[in-house]
Amino acid sequence: MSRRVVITGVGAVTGYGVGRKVFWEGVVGGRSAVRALGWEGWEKAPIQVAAQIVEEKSEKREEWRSLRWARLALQEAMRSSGVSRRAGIAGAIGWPGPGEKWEGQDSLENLARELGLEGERVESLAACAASTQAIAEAFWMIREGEVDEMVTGGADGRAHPGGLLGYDRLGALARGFREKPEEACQPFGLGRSGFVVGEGAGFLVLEEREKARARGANILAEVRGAAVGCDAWRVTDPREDAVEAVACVTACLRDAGLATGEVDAVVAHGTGTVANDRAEAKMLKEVFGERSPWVIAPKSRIGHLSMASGAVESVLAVQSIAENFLPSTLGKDWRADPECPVRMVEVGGKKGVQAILKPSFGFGGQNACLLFIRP
Amino acid sequence: MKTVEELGKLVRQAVAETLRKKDSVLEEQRLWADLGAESIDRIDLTFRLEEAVGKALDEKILFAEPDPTLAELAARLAKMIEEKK
Repeated sequence: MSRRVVITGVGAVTGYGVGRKVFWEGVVGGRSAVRALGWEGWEKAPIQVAAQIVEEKSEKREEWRSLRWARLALQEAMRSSGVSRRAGIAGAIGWPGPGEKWEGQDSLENLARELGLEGERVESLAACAASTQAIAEAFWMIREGEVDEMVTGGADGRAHPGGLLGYDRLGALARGFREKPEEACQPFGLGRSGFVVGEGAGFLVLEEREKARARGANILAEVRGAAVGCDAWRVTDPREDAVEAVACVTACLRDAGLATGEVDAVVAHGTGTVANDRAEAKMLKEVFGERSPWVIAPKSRIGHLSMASGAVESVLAVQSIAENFLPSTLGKDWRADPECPVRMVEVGGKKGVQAILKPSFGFGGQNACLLFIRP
Repeated sequence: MKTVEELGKLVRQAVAETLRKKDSVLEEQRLWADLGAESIDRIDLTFRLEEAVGKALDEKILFAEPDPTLAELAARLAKMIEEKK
């Protein structure tokens, strides 16, 4: 019989602050972590908002901020899970920003050493699908019997002038919104104009189910399937026909052994750019037909965490299953776009959600997808 | 069972690692006022201390006001371990 893989702990650092609890309460409470930037002399810049993590003193330490958030999210996930230190790590950590110092051999080596993780290390560099792919790799390693425990996720932080202006040059960001930061990112909405940069980290503890049960672990959800793929198309644009995105999600469902009708909800990639959301909506229509699952798109609340986005959104998917609640992620100004016929959750609730799909699509046409189910 | 001296050394090491201090930290230094710790350092430091002593620790007691010196932090840790026995 095939081995099953369960999630026994999660940790998150987001624009809301440190911890999975403030993340969950922020999203469920309908608050946004997107705020106007307070940098001196920045008032005339095109980009005015981000879901930034503002720390009191770490800038003075010249610390690698993504790595620091990764450590905090990992510590939270590992403490709540009680996983052993035999675990390996699969992750995607953003490189140091301006003024931050490189630490140790590489990011995962650094985390493994500091947290005492003795297992294998697997790194993914698949752009904004990177942490989703890392979780997929960790899942497969456990399911196929290679290892019994993995911690997996990602961290990234690009809410600095160079990061924002770089993305802006690509035409990818929502401009303005200084007076209304919470409305800047409108995934699948008629008024969408780009994404908002977010910062933070998300980590999950994955374990082989029988061993987790034997040690009395608290099982939050199960990873049931995964898939990765590539558009092999353009650097920044997704394929408009969404053929490879459809192939990736279909492969994930096949890997999970689930029919399309069994998927209740999707925690979408939903960046709020015109091109991504159109292609993702097309993908959802192709895969699910007329019966669309419920869709939430948390980048409206926490911004786009680049390499860490899939991990943090996976934490949200797991919490939705564990808390038996699907939050709405829509802002007040959001209006449906006929070009994106997805069934957005307008009012939080939807108890009894059994299966949640988590696709991610990155620059370079990188696609990755996970499927979480109620344990 | 670790001696108070061993716990003091362990606390200083954990604090130095958390706060990325290259120079040694001193037992009379206060965590927030002298060493520049900030609120989110509590998670990191608690994790390191738990790993070092092999026991779950209560953050609220460990970092309760007033701002502890590292020697006081070691004393709080010793008391917590004693009570957990």
